Amino acid sequence: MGNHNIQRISRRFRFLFRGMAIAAPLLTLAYWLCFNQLPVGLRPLQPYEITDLSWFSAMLAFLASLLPLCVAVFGLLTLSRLFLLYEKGVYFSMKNVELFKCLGLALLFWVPASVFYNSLLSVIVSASNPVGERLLVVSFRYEELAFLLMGGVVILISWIMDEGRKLEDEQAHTI
Amino acid sequence: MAIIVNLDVMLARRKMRSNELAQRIGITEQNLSILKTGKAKAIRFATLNAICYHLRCQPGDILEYRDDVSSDE
Repeated sequence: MGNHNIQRISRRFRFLFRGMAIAAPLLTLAYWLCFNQLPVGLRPLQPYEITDLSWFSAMLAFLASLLPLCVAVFGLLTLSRLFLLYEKGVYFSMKNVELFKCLGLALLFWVPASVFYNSLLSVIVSASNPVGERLLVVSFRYEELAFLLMGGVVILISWIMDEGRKLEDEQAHTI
Repeated sequence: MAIIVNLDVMLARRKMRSNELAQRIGITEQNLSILKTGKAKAIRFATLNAICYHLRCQPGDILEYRDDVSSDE
């Protein structure tokens, strides 16, 4: 694949990830604002039933979702910056390595953020239940395990990228 | 680096300018400057061969090992 193709596709990915980073907070806000109108299939998959939420609970749920959302937006913006470098033809610079590390960390940080968010959500949606029916659910799902593995792999790739950067640096200084 | 590049000395002896040598051996002036200032990490045999040919010298005239210079490797 030639440089031209890499740059062309990288530009598309950059726009896609930048767009997703902008759209994600807006869609999340819209999701919680319109939560009661959503079909059951679109509601979050939880081991407990989520009934209609009051406006206050929906806003609290939105605030709780900001935690994983921030991690996701950070990851998306990192991807966008990485593809900007590829678009410029920069493949093995120190900046690439740093961005790969940031991406790996974003994937790893997603796990505690997601676990904490799901726990907080269980408290928020059940807060109005009668005493004895309120919940605190702490769950670790396959999704979190997958993110943990992906984060580890991406950080390993960042180390390999660093080796590539050293090789390119040596190549650039070979006369 | 304990390896010293004496290219500027040889250029002065042969009364040749850097840009002329760069042009003759087919590398950029920027790369020749990297070589002259000792920032190069490696030199290709082809480049060394071309430098020696155009400056009518031996590799030892260009490259020198000095024990007293600290090595970063």
